[in-house]
Amino acid sequence: MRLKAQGELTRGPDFRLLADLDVDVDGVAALVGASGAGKSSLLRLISGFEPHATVTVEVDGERWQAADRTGSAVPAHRRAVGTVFQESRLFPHCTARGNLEFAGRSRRPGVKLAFDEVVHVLDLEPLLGQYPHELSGGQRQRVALGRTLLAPAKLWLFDEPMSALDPASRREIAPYLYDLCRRHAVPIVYVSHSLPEVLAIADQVWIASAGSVTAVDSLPAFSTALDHPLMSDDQAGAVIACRFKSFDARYGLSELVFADAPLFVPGDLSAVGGPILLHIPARDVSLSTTAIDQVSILNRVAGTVDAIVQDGEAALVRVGCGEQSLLARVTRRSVDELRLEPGTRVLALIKSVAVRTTAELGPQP
Amino acid sequence: MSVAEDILLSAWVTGLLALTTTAVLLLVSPPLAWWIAQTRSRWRPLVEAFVALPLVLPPTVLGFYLLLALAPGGPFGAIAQALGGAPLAFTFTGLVIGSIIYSLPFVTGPLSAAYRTTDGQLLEAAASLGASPTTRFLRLVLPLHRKALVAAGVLGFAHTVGEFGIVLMIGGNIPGETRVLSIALFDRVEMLDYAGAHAIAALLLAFAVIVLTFTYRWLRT
Repeated sequence: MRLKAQGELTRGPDFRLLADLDVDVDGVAALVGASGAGKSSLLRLISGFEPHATVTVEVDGERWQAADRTGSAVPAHRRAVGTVFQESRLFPHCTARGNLEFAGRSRRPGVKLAFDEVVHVLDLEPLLGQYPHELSGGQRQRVALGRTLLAPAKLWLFDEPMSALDPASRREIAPYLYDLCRRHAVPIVYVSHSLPEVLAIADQVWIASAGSVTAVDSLPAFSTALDHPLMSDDQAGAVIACRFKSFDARYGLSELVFADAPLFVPGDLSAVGGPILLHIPARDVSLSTTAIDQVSILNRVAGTVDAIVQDGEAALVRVGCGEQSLLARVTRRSVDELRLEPGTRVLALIKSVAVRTTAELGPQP
Repeated sequence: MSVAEDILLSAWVTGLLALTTTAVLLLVSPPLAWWIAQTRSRWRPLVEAFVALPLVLPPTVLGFYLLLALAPGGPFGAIAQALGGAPLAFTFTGLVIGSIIYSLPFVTGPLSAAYRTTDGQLLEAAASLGASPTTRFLRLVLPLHRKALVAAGVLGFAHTVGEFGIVLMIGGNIPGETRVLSIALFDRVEMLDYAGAHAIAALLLAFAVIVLTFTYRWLRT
């Protein structure tokens, strides 16, 4: 789906959002940025809740509103966009079933899921007869999620929908959502404050900062950009795409190829088709300027330092390895002792990797 | 006609008038109140003023203009005659029209006050689910404020039962047709029949107290 949002939204003297998006949305686009950067406002623009904004919104060539306000904006209820809000926004006078059935009445175009399927997968059966005030926060959000899935849509907007859920329900629902997105070809724009969440679900990343939404990155490019707002997270680190080579049953290790170097990863990944995405936390990457032979760390990749930024008491070093990059978090003292600077040849020692298996998540672009 | 017969017949006319008026108002007022509550039209203050007129004008003023409009030579009276009906002045139908106008603010006012408190986030959620403005009104706003609707209906009914000035101007005093309780009371006092007046006054007072008490109690539950 082609999504275009270009123009300026002002609300009062203090808020201004510059949108300059013209992107193909496929799969999950994570929208990240500090609070007040305009993430929710962008979603409101797309949904049709800012019909008077001087912003052009187009979806697949269909103009929903024009920056010069020519013609009238397509009203929110006719836009094939479903939104899951931060708050559940369930209708208090309806039971969970009533809320779900409310969504099924619309005849606008778009993908619409079967009632029974949604109820089954989100485990809503026991909640159907209850009113919103009788449900827990997580249960309410689960019903709200189901309600959105039941209204016809070509695009789903998730405005931090998991923030009210406990970690267990989050883990349970996220893969289901992702799977849905693939099977029904409904792209999702997903606002998130959590780097692990972004790393787990995103195919592309949009960054909102200082009132503008522009940058659109692939996940590997986003994960090694040193200036984005989630970089100070403990989980910061490169996402790299590797190729499967072989599985060694003796040690239970898969051998992958990354930038011409072998990487050994626990488990049999032979069944994964296409590139395998690995997340390598920067804190688990050490750097050496000399070749080391006798060390327990299996994964060593040669590369060239291309950027260094200070990160509190430590430093984040980006190492270019062929077309891709790794991130390493090292002490500032190490930077000085190893005389690291852009252009220095280094060996990256990787202590741990997390596989983002693409098999259950669908093909990567 | 005995006092008891007079009271019974007048009570019947009064009840029928109040029921008819309330039924019409419950159809007309909710959309009007919703329009007033959420429109940004520059005509809103004018519409609100017209709805609120009966609150401030003496009923006789409204009654006088209605009498002119409903009389055989007046615009509404002429229309009614052209359609093959009788002129509306001094008929039950004319009384219903007057009562609707007179009780409109008592139904529309509380409703639009209630509708103004509608959670905008819920309306947005409904729109995002594909609900048109009409669907949002019928399936969200109306049921969310169903208590306000009942309360407004009761208020409209009770107020119609208690009206006097307009009826006096346009209804006249035809037993079984336009003679309502408040007129019957006035008549009894004029005839110095204080016993009959007491009966009617006490009936109206008891009705008002009981209805209002039960309504307020129900609103709290």
